[in-house]
Parts: sequence; structure tokens; C-alpha cells
Amino acid sequence: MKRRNMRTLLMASACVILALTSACSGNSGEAGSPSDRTGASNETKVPNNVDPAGKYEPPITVTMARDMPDNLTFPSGDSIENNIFTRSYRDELGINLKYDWITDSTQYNEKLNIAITSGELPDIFNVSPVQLKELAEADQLADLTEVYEKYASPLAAEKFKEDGGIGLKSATFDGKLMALPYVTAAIDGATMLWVRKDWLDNLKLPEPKTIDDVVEIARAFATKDPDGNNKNDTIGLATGQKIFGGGGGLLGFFNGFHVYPNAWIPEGEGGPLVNGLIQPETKQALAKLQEMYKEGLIDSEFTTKTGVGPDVIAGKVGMFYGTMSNPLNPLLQSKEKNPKAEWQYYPIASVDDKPAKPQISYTPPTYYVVNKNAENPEALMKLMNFFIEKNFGETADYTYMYDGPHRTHQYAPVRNFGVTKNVDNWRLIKEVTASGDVSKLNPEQKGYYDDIKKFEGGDLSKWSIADIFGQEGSLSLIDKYVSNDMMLVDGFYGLPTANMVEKNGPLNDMALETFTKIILGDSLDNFDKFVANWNKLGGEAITKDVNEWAATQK
Amino acid sequence: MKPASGASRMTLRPSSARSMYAQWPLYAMIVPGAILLIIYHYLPMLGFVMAFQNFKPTLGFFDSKWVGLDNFVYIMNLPNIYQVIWNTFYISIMKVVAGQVFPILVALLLNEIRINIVKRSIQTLIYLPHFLSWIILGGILIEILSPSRGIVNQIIQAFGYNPVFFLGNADIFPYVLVVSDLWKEFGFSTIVYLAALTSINPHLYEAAVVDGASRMRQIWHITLPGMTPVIVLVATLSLGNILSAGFDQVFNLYNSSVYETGDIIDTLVYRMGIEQVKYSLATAIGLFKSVIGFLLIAISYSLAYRFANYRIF
Amino acid sequence: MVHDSSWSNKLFQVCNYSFLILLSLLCVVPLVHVLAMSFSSSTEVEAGLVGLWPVDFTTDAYAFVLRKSEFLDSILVTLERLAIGVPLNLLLVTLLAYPLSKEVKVFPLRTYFAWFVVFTMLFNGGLIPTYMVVKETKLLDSIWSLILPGAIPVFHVVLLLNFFRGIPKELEEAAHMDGAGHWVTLFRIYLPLSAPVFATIGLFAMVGHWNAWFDGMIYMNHPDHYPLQTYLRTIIIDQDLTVLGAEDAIRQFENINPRTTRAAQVFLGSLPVLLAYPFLQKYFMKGIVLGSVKG
Repeated sequence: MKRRNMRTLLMASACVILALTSACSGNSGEAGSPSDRTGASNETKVPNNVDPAGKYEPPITVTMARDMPDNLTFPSGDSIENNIFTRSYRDELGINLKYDWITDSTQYNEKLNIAITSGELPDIFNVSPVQLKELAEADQLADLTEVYEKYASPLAAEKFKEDGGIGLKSATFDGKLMALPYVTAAIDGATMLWVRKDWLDNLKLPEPKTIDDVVEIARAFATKDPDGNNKNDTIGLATGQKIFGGGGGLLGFFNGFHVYPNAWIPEGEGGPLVNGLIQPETKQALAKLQEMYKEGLIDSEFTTKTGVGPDVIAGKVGMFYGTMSNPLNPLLQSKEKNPKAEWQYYPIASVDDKPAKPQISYTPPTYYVVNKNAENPEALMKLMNFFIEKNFGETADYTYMYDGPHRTHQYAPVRNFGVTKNVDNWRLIKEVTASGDVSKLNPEQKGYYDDIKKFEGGDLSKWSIADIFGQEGSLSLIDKYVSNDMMLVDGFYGLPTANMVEKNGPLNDMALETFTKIILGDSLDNFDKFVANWNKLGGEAITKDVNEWAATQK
Repeated sequence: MKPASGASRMTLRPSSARSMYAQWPLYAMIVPGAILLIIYHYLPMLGFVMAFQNFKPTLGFFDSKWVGLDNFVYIMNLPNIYQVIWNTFYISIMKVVAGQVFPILVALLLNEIRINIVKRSIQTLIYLPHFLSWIILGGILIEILSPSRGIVNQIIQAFGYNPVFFLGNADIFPYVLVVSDLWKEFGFSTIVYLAALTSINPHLYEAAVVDGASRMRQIWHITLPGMTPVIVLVATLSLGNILSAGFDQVFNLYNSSVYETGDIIDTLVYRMGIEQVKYSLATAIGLFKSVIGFLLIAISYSLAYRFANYRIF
Repeated sequence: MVHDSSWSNKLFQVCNYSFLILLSLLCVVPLVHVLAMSFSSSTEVEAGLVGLWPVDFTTDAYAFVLRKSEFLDSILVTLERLAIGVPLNLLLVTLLAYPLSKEVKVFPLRTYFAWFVVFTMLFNGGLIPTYMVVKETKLLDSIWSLILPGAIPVFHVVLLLNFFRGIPKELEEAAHMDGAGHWVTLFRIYLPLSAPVFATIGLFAMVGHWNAWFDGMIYMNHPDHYPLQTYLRTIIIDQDLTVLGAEDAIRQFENINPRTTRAAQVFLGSLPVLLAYPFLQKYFMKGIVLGSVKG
């Protein structure tokens, strides 16, 4: 009896709370039936006015599938199905958004594959490059060529060109645009070398300009007790087990040898594309790493570590290859732990007098597509225009980006930020800091600007924002990379070829194992065997595919 | 091997059973379960066709291309596949053996504990590691087994030995897998064996005591034979998973420097990440593992029946 | 059972107690460590500086897990799942185990049926086909999708049938003499004698339902239908920093640390066992007192 009372009580109180937050969506019962999707949309067969921001009269219903971003929070009363974006879509565009299903990001692909198999695709959804290819080849997608031409707002078109049109090109099949690419800030992934400046100063060492400097500094950090605790417990150069990773890996180190693992680069000027993994210079980079590992300059346990964060925070690391966002993690935590820790970024060091170029790739991670049977394919473009306008246009409104702690921009199922957003922010903040004219800043930029001012006023918790967006922040290096054309862009940006899909897994696996073992002390000659095997087990076929693709791009 | 416990001593009068009363309830009882099994287990088995197709979600079951045994050929051509199959066998045989012997021992020892509260507490506590996921345990093990600062190596060094890189040394790695898995899961089997222990007829012990049998003799002649059917059952069923050596565990503990001894079928296939034929490949692998497991179980079953006239299940 | 007070026995008892207590400590220490992590600040946890006691005590991780409205939804879903799922498991398992525990002479088809059941433990059709069946049987997005597909844990069936076989045939025959059919025999004689094994499979069924998360993720279309563990999964996924979009790289870490949150999740996950197991244990203690039944 008691137990039942408890349960009733729990249920009742839960309902009260839910009613208050109104997340208790009364319609959750019929959510499972995707069949009632059409409804209003049947009546609007006539194409609307060709206005990129035009409103549907009467309103249409568009079904979508959604991967729920992790750690997403909502203002009281809102949910993924009812929020600032869904309401604006309804009121300003005449589009009622209905999710056929929602799942978290890890299972999205799985659920989408299931939906594809059972032929129950929503009107608009996002897909991986491989899915895009298969769906396009199976003729299940709407042709968006006309939609893009007619409906893309000028601002949206601009955003889609920030990557040099690579994203749009990669989504074009036989001259037909089959998807809108998710254009992301690839340049923000360019690597930089983060170094404990206070240790550098303690030991009176020069800045790391060349690979030799890096080795020298790593040696001093590993052996000369830079933290002065009289214990031999510091790591010269830290890395995790994913050595090809940009942040917390060794990609930046390889790039320092003008070696670009897994990127496709022309062999000589204008020559055919080759994979950076198997270039002869790679062997030199491996030899150097092996030497460093043997001498104890690289973390001896890196094979068991998933990343460098924990050791960085614990104050054991002197140097690691990272990215512009590292001040947020793990450097801020490192400073919380030890306020004396001074972290300074440097351009990645080069093995010779040629400057090293960090490698980046503009290949979009996902694409937005429209079901062939959808009534209003142009709705996708309208949603896209809307997002870009509200975040970057004349009528931009910060609440579409952030609302207090809530990342409202994530509520939008269709998004695009373009390539240069963060660097643009940094440039403007720099300009405004000089001129003092804060009215030029949009609310997001103003937020960073204020944080920097707070940091300068002594608020240490704002250190990370200041160290990214401040005048000397990490984005200044990205800006330098961009303005001096110091990034190496992957020469292949098409969709994965059949050979890639089948062979890349085994090839990457072989690369990781061979390289790791060479660093740990295996014979360097294994690299030559690796190159031969790589070619034999599919590398050659992939190289052929890539060059055939390249020929079609000229 | 005799059929369970006290019952074996008693004379059966089987002839009466069939004639005595109606057997239809036996069929009736099976019906609900059988229907559910057919719908939710046998029906999906039609999906085995994927193992012989290049299954693409866009084409579905009917239009995907038939490729015969290509998927199996693909698996057999994966780099180091034979080493990996051997690793899988080796690791999982050790796990099966350790996972049987140790819980039986613990159950017997626990049965000797007289103070109820102690007994109950221990029983609850040893079941707790079961709830730690491998992703958490992976993090913990990497810390405590670290050669430079892990507690285990500090103890080893205190005894004057050199530190051991447990997770980076291919010779040791498989045993780390076995011991950590045993530690995590032995509480689970212990509970099963305790249940088996408590089901043994106490009269048997009383009779033994009257005959002057020692504790050891009682365990040998009453307790263990009483537990035998369950032991045989659990051991036999665990053969079904002989080619699944624990994906989550290996995945969270291994790294490329211990692939030689630590890589198992599931992790290898996962790393290949073949998105295009993922479902076909997964089905083919699953089918392969199931067939092997099924054969082993069928063999054990028929051996037990032929030589001990005992049906394991 | 009879006490033996010899010297060697005392020595054995001392060793036995020490060994088992040591063993259980070995099982608890990591859990205490995880508990300590769940109450520590994320910086300390990330730096690997938390031992068996919280450092920089905070309840942030729990607050984060508990603060969303979906949390209560998901608890209700899980409770519903337990309330329907566990009894249904036990019922179906019992109904299968009883006939299968009969000998071939009594139930000629038993061996075929036994293999029919065990076969499903070894072979499964995989995700997509199972999903299709669940969809076609109209279970998607309903609590039954979490219950029916796994309603028959085969291991429990064979375990129970094995225990049923150990029950003395005389009892059954005596009952038959008195005119009892199979139903009466099952419920009046078998069940009362099977408390330990029912406690065991009941516990396993409970733990299984409590901790299952994948089916919730796949079969439920809306987050407010997720059971507890599925919900917990959705909020603590490790971010791969290299693939984060620019917009997210910035604010990601103001939120919460996956390691502390995951530690909190372990606690919520093992809760039912910590609470329910001590009550179930009395069934492991008794043993079967046959005398009283025999009469």
C-alpha cells in the first residue's frame, strides 16, 4: 500500500513539475504515426512567390528527422519541438515543422539507415557523405539546382562561397545540385603549438621556430625539472594515441616536415594528386619521433592515453600540438589548477627554412537533403536563408544564437555558419578595440568584447575568451595563417569513392599501427614495407579514383 | 554426471505420469513464449540474407545485390585475421574458465560464512563492479596500471621489481583483459551458484553428518554434485559466445601497440568501419560467430547425453 | 549446519573471512572512487587527482543530470517498464521452463522446444530486421517496444528449467494422485520451492530492464519517451573535439564534464541493486525445507 502511495505521489509531483515547464507535450501520444504528415501541404502545390523570405499562405507542414545535440538546454517551457526557431518558422515563413523522429547524435546515422531501408524518409534531413552518394544514386533525392538558383538569398549564397564553393561542388552530381552542404569553419582546425611559456622562461629557452628547437625544448622540459618540484615527472611533448589527430595528436609535427598524412597533395607543381601518408619525407618525421621517444622526450605512455587533457591540467605537460579553441579546454582548467601556468601558442615549427603549413580540409561533414517526394523542396532553402539572416544578416538577433546559457542556434535543424565566422569576429573586435566604436559589434561579438574587458579588469574566469578573441588571442594566428596563405588545403573534396569506402578503414588502421610501432622503436624500414602494402591493399586504386575525380574538376 | 541433487536418489515411477493426467497444459504453457520468440526472434532472422548481399539501405532487402560468399571472403582476407581469430579464442577460453572456477570457489567459501550480515554484505558488494561500464573502468584501469604513477606499479616497485606497462605490453595484455573481466563479472555468476547451493536438500547434509563426514567430504560429495547441473549449464552456454571476447572491454583498453595479442574479431571489424557494407558485414560476422557457438553447444549437449545420459537443457 | 570447533576449522574460518572481506573491498574501492569523482569538481577529475574522497566537493554533476524535465519523464518510463517488464519476464520464463523441465517420456517434444528456445539465444537477425518487425507490430514509440522483443531471456529459462528438474518427482506425483493437473503443480508445488532461483532471475531481470538503453534509443521517436538510461546516455556523450563545428567549440565546456556526469550515472545505475538486493537476499539464505512440504 505504502509503495503504491509513493508511486502515485511521484507521478503526481512529476506531472505538476512537467505541467509547469509545459514540456509535458499532450500530443506525445500520436507522435509515432508519420502518416499524418501531409495535411496542409497538399493544398500548396502552387509554387509560392519566388521570394527567398516569403511566407507560405496557407502554412505548410514539413517533416524532418533530427539528431539531438548533446548537452542541449532550453529556456523554461521550450523543447526541441517548440522553441524560438519552430515558432518563427511558423509565424514568419508559414512552415510548420514536424519531427518524424528525434534521436541523439550517436544513433542518428543508425536510425536514418533504418528509415532509408523501410522507405520512410521525412521531407528534409541531413546525411553523411556516403549516404548522400547512395541516396543520390538511388534517385531518392530532390534536385535542388533550381531551388538554389531561385531561392538562395544573397547572404546565403555568400556563405556558401566562403569555402570557395567546394561544398556546393561536392554536392553536385552530373551538374545537378542534390544537397546543401554544411559549411563549417575548417580553418579553425588548423594546428598550432601550445607551450608552457613560464617553463620556457624558467629554463631560458628560445621560442620554438624549427623542429630542432622543438626537440631542444622537449629535452629541457623532460629532463631539467621545469616546474621545480625536484621530481622527474614532466613530459616534453605530449600526444594521445590518435597520432594523426590535429588537437592533441602529432599532425602538426608531421606538417612541420611538410608531410600531410591523409591529405591529397599535388606531386610537384601541378602533378597528379598523391596521399601525404606515403611520401618519403614521412620517414624522416618518423625517424625524428622515434629518436625523441627513445630519449624520453615524448610521453612514454602515449599509446594508452586518449588525449592530452588530463596531463595538461595536472601540470605535467610542457608542449603539445593543439588548436585555437584549446584555451577553453584544457588550458582554462590548467590555469584554474595552477594560475602560474602561462600557455603560449606558436605557429607550428618547420624542419627547414620553409614555413610549415597546417593542413585543413573543406570537405563538408554533413549535407542537408530533400526527399524526392517532398511537396516543397524550396522549404529547405527558406529555412537556410532564415537561419543565416537571423544570425548574420541585417535583421540579426542574438537570441537566435544564444539565449543566456542556452545555445539556441542548435535548435535550428538547418544551419550554416560559413568558414570565417570566428576570424571575422576576431578582426572586428580588434578594430573596435582600437576605435572604441562598440556599436559595430553584434551581440555575440559584444559578448566576447565584454569578456575581454572583464579579463583585463582582473576576472580570471574570462581568460579563455580573452586568449582566443583578444588581440593576441589564438585567432590572431589563424588570421595570420589565412592572410599569408599558410594553410594546406586537402586537394580532394569530392564524396568518398567506392574504393575509399571499402579500403580506407583497413588502410588507416595499418597506418596507425605501423607509425605507432615505429615511434615505439620498430625498424624504420617497416615504413617502406608499409608504403608497398598501402599501395597494394587499395591505396593505388584510391589514388586513381582521386585523380580521375580531379580531372572532372578542371 | 548425474541429474541434479536429491532427486537422483529417489525412485521414479514414470509410467504413471503420462497416463495419469492430461498433457495439453504443457503445450498451452509454451504457446505464449513460442509466439513471442517466433515474432521477435525468428522473423528477424530472415535478415540473414544480408550476409549474402551487398546490402544498401537505399535498395533494401529485395533490391540489394547478391554477392554470395563475398562478405565472408572479405572477412577472411582482412589483415591478420587468423591471428585475430586466435586471439579471440584464447582470450575468451581463459575468460570462460576463470569465469567458472572463481565464482564457484567464492560461492563455496561464502556458504561457509556463518554471520548473516557479513555474508549478505559481501554478496551485495561483489556484484557492484558489474554496474561500472567499461568506458569508466577503462579510464580507471589506465590510471591505476600506469607504469609511472599507477598504484599497482607503486606496489610492484615497493617490492623491488621494475614497473610493468600492463596496457602497453603485448605479452601481458590478454591477461589484463581476463583478470579485469573476471573482477567485473564474477559477482554475477556467484549469485547463480549461490542459488544453486541453497537449493540443495539440507537433509543430505544432516545424513552426512550422522555418517561422520567432514566439511570437505560434504562439499565434495554433496555440494559439488548438487551444483553440477548448473555449472555444466552455464559453462555450455558460455561456449555460445566463444567468438565474442568482449568488445566494450577490449575497445576501451587496447591500443595499436597491443593489437598482436589483444585485437579481437569485433574490434577489428569495428576499426575497418566499412560504412558501405556495414550491415552485410555485421550480419556475416554475427552468423559466423553464432554458427561456431552453436556447433560447440550442440557437441557438448550430445556428448553429455551420450556419455552421461544427461540433457544439459 | 553443523559446527566444527576444531583448531584447523578456526584457522580456515579466519582465512575465509579475511579473503572474502578483502575481495569485497577490492570490489567496492573502485566504486567509491567513482562516487568521489561524481562529487568532485571537473578540473580535479580531469587532472586525475581524485582518489577515494571528493576533492573540491560539488553536486553539479547530479544537478546537471537531474535538472532537465526529461529526467522525471524518463524515471516514469523506467518504472513503468519495470512494473510491466519484470513480472512479464518471470511469468513467461516460468511458463516455458516448466514444460521444458519435464522428461521426454512425459513431454515428448521437450527437446525440440528446448533447442527452439536456445537457438534464439545464439542467433539474432540484427538491428534492421528486428526494427522492421517492431515497426510492423506497431510497437514503435510505445513502452511495449521495450518489453516484448526481450520478454524471454533465454538464459533465465534454461536456468529455471534446471532448478525445476531438481525438485523431487515424488512431490509432483503425490499431487497428481490428489488430482492436481500441471497448472496446480506448477503454482502450488514448483513455485514455492523455487524462491532462490526466482530471486536470482528476478534480480537479473530488474537490473536488465533498469540498465537497458539501446532499445530506448532505437525504438522511441521522441526524447520524452526515453527510459532513464537512454536519457542519461543522451546527455553525456564524449565530444570528439576535432569534429566540432566552430559554433560549438566555443561554448562546449561551460556545461559539464563527461567524466563526473558519467560517474553520477553509475550511481543512478546501480541504485536498484543497492536498494533491492538486500531484501531479495533472504531468499538465498533459506534453502528448501523439503520436510515441511513432504508432510
